[in-house]
Amino acid sequence: MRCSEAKSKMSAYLDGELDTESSLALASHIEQCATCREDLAELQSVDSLIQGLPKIEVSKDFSRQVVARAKEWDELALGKRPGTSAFASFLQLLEDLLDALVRDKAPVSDTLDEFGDFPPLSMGCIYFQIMGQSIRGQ
Amino acid sequence: MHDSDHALIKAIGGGDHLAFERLVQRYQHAVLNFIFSHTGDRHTAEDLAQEVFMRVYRASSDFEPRGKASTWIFKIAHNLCLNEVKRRMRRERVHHTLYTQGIDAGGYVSSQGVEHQEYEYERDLMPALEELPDNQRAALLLRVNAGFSYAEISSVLSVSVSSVESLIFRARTRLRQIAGKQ
Repeated sequence: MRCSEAKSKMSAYLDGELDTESSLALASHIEQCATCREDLAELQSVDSLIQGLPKIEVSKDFSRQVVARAKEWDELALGKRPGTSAFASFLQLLEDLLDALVRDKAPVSDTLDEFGDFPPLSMGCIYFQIMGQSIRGQ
Repeated sequence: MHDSDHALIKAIGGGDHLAFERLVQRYQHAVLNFIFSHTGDRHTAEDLAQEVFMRVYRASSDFEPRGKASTWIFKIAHNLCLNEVKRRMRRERVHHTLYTQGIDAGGYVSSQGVEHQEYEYERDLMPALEELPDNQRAALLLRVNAGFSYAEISSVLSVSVSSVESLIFRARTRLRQIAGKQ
């Protein structure tokens, strides 16, 4: 094996990604060639430097925070957002006031099912699910 | 008993939060530091790492166990890193972030003075690492720090195995030129 070929294969050799025949040929060449031996050592030192670069520790509550986000996402996706009961009370009060003010009221739907054609998990679908549950007092 | 990644992801797809927490704990260190190597900023790295796992969570029911879960997770991380790098103007040098802040006893980067012994080639290595093309840097870090095979890296980066070999070769050559100056 010539040095030019050895140099081109050195990186893959370092990573154990050469086929057996090429690995043996390169290993044999390195044994006999001081220059290529030095080249390989320099590549190894680069890897050592990279491995020695500062790493950051994961904060202790990282996984807990991620799981909390996942649970919050579940609640939004399933339309079970907390806090809708207070909002439902406010809407009922508003509706009562409107009923008292309007004499000839037009029929009012107490359900938002007619808006149920939004794609699942879209913002519109989730929003009207929450609104529908609020009005129904759930 | 050590559940396989595929078993955990299947459980996550069924709404198992405990399985999700275990998967996060299994990969959080590697994912966080992979992202940190690209962004150089701890807070950004933590935000992106959280987003990686949230995407894993949301897509868990669609995950098909043909490939390794680790390559899937790092593919998500790599794509988020690319988006972040494109968005940010690289004004702050990575080595400035790392070496003008000290390391406290808990291993966190703090805003204290520097006690860390600085090596000149490290100071040159960090900017050189940052200046590598994204794919070269990612391929090298996945190999050297995360221990991925060329086949796994090709899956993460969506390139051929021969391209991975070339990317890593060029990255090492460039960094070696920097280190060789010292």
